[in-house]
Amino acid sequence: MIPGISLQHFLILSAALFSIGLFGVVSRRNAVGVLMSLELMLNAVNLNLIAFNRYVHPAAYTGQMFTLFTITIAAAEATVGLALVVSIFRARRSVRVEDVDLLKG
Amino acid sequence: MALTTTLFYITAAIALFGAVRVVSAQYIFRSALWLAVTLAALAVQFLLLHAEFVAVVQIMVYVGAVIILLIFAVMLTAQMGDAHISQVNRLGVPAALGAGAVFYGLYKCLGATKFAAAEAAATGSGAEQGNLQAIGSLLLGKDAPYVYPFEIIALILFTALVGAVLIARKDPE
Repeated sequence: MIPGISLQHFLILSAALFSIGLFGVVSRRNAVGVLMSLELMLNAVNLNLIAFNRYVHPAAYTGQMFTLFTITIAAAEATVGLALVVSIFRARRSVRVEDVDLLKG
Repeated sequence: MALTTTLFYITAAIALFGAVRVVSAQYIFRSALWLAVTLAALAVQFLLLHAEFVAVVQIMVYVGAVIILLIFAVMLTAQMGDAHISQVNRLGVPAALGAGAVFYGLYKCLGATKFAAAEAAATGSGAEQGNLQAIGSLLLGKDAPYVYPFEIIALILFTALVGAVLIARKDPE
């Protein structure tokens, strides 16, 4: 255990990172920036999982396994997301989120 | 103060500062670089939590691969005049209020919750030795509980790669 650092410390750090990522996802103008904020949120969740794994059940590896799968999914999500961004840029010459409003009534 | 405690506070501060710069930088390229800083600081946090394998995977997959991918996307989609307009859309203020409210709620909940199981287990010794072997046998060993999820996630990754190539390629005229 780390002296003076409790589970709460990690959870609060994770909550702060999650909130910053949430702000970025809603307010970023550039679609790539939105994806970056999304990665921030996913990483906050990963920190949560590993902290719980370490503090609640250090003999099991459930949280670390979850994190490995999350990282894989995040990589897949980044690949497809960036391919979509490049495709949208080719079609509309813009990656600003407010320019992509085809489905808006 | 013990070395690990100091390390926790330093890397936490770096991660938070980097995260703020990711969502506030004027140039999206700098956002990508700050994201690398944040993810590397989080890898150190994983090391502090005795998750060595995940820390190395974090460095290799995120800092190594995803950041490169993001930087490529930034370069491929560079726009003239991006430096002169605000990078935050008109939802900036409501988004900041909402994110602040989420953080405040989480903070209050975490402060009010007693993690009894955590207190009990924290005094135990836990797995202090390296975890590489344990993770390997959980994924691919004899009677491994995670062998099917492992294979399925490999399939998902493959599908995503093929899909990305299909989406991003030029339409044949």
